[in-house]
Amino acid sequence: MGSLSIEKVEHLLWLGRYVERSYTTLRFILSTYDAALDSLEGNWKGQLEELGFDASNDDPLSFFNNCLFDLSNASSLKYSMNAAYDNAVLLRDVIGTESIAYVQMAADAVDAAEVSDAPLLDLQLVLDYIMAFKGCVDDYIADDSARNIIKSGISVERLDLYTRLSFRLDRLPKETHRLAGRIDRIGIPYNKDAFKRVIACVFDQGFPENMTYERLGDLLADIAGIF
Amino acid sequence: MYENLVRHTPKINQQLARYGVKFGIYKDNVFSERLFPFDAVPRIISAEAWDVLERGLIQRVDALNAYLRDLYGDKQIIADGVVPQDFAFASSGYLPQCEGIVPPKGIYSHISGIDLVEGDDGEWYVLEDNLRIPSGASYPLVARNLCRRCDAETFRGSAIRDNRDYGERLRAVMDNVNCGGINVVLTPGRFNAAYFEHSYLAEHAGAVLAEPSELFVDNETLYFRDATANRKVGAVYRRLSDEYLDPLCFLPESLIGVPNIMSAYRAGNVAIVNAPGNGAADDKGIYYFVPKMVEYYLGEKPLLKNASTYLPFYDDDMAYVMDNADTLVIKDVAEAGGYGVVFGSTLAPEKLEELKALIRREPRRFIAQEVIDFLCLPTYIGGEMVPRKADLRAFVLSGEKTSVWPSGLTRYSREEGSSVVNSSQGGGFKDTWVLCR
Amino acid sequence: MRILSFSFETTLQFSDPVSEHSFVLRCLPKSCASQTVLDSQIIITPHTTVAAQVDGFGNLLQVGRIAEPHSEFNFISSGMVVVDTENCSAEPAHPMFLRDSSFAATSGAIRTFAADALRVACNAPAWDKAMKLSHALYEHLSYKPGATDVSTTAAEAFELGCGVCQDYAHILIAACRAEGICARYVNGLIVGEGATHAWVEVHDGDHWRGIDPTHDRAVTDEYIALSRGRDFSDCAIESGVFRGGAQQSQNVIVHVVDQASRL
Repeated sequence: MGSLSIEKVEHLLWLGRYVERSYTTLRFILSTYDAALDSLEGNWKGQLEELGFDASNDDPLSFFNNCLFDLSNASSLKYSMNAAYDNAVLLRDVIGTESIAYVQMAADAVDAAEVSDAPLLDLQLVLDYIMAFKGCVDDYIADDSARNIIKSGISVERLDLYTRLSFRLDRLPKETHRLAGRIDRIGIPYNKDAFKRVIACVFDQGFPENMTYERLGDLLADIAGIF
Repeated sequence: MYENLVRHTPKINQQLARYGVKFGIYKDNVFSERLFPFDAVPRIISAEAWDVLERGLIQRVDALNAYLRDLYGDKQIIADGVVPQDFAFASSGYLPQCEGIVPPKGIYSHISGIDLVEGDDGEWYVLEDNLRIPSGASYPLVARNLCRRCDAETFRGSAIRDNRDYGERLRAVMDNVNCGGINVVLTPGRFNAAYFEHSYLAEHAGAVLAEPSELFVDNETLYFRDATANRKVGAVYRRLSDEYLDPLCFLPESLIGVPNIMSAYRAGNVAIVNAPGNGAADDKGIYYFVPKMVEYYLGEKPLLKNASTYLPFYDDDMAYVMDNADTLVIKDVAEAGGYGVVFGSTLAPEKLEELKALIRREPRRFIAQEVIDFLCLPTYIGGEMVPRKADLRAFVLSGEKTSVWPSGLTRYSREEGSSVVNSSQGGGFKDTWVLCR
Repeated sequence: MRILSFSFETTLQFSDPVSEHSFVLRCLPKSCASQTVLDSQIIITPHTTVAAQVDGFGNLLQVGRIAEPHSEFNFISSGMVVVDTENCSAEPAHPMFLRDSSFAATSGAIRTFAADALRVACNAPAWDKAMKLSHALYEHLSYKPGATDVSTTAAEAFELGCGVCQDYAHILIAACRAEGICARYVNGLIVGEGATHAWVEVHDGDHWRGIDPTHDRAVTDEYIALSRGRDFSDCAIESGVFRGGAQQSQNVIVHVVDQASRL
């Protein structure tokens, strides 16, 4: 192997991003749901509105159901998981059938949970398969460049989601650190200036307390500009 | 012997789903993917039977390759009157654009899928040769892996020949004709019915999976667009059909081809696996002549039988067809796939007369065959063993030598009594065990 | 016998720049029994590497690719050819030239037309039959540029009752094949100034001989053949595939001179 077209590079990057988006979105939905159980007063939708879910939907069951399974919403778990699969299936010669199997199973598990009478319980399987996929990426994918692109995708997605949701901002430096160690090994060009601005921002002494809404927006734009 | 396998059929199918063993279908213009049902009761071929099959298949494919070399070269077999020109050039798969091109090492059909059935009389009959882009080798590969895990008793120290080296065999076939550069599997893309297979075979042959837009031709050389540098391609196992391969040579409206790939091929800078133009040797009209090709090119008696076939083109055959049309299956040579196939026994008397009149008017357009009663295999459906008709696609690989993959794709029909085994019609597949003793 | 010098220039103009332009040209004559190429050259702009190849029909190809964006594609071929139409060598006809092809398939109307035209000549030799068909077609069809395009089939043009040289050639080929005469399509140039031309070759049992149905005459030493095929789609003079959704316009200048006329 060892030959990646621009198309494959894109698919690897987006595979990483969508897998991570599925994982983080699902965990975020689960914790928001959990908090809402105790209080349906006030802002029980939490930061989920930031992801573009229907703010006017006041029925909690239907709201959470949409967050999880509404294919017409690009932020839903199902949408991300399907998109992850759509990228994975184009990469069999690069990442291998064994790795794709976990993405396939995670996508199948989302479908199964959708028709289950205890979807949130069953969705644990999705988290399990995604974790297994991440392990597979580390252990099984022989092509260094392919592995690093997926992991860069994962890192970028994390930076993006954490920033978007103002969630675990204290983890951004660590994630940025990881990405810095990897990004020069993927063998494709990226926007160095944008990445340097991200580094400057998250390693600032005052971070994250100094982040205004506006500065978060700038950071988000720089993260999006890396690739 | 395979009770465990049968008992665990649902589990094996579950694991097949995990690996995405699917084929794509279009229904009402919507693309969807379906799982390919696996039946754990295998087709078992004894070592003795395989020995004959193997030699017969090698002989047949060697003769077909010789025919293609001759057809696009000297045309000696036509000059000698063994294959009438009315049949040789009437085939829609004959491509004059390929005249005079000699593929690397003279191999036209590198991967041949020969469809056979076992008759009630215990004889094997060839039903069809597929020399273009036969598919189906990937499914048994995945299934075998799972079956071995499921049933140690059956496989331990068993006489079942391992079939999981297909990827290496494919790679050897590509390496043999590689003109310098990487090996590529060219797929029309994600929405092709056999996309799973394309990607699976690329993975297992260690080839790069490419869509047409990832390839280009410059200066008589085929390149893969790597993100960092363009890489020369020495052999391309293409899984898109001839007419779409090169818009500057075949259908100009093809949007999925690689422009000028034929110029790289003409110049001898890339091997195209299988060669364009092979359709001239695997259509219904040519089938009749394949045993004659074996005698003509190899000077050997054919080891494999065709289904008894009659060409109304010849007077004796015309007389036979007119007398027996009600028991024969009549095939329109011009139609592809399952179209234009009529069983005389199913026609009302006046329709049969109409067909006979048509055959008399256009004798070259039709062939007629005896209906073969083919053997049923036990199949586990709905919790019980039931008989189902099944065929076998054997894969013959022509590399440095011609060899037969000791396995194959056994497809069975969904309905009892039906002989339609196509996966698109709801049929499933079985593993094919070739015994080594 | 005549010695002809030719120059043939084609310019394609694109409304927006195109890139990754792969092309095949059949714009240079090749030597055969009835024509000897003394000298020929080609210049392509923008400059690129061009490979000379021969296709399955025996035509000379110029194959290449221009990766960079460009708004104009130009090729000029020129040279000198000795034409000796009488000297056609005996060769068998490939049976494909007797079968329908995509642009030159017979239709019921063409079959009837051919049978009517040959009613009093059913035992004539193939060549005489073909000439008769050409006469009948010349009477039936009117020359009318713009009524048809490069994708018009023989049956369509016959139905319209008009067309250009390509349509005349396709219908004559279809009519000949309907009558069991092998016929093929020829692209080329004729003495004078103007555009490229198309005509027909029929097989008289021993040789391929040219008929120009647009002028209703046997081909003379004033014709330079560039490419041959079952019909137009096998042997286009210029074909290309590129990236970019541009409008295309084409300008062709042909100049063929009989050297004797200069003396």
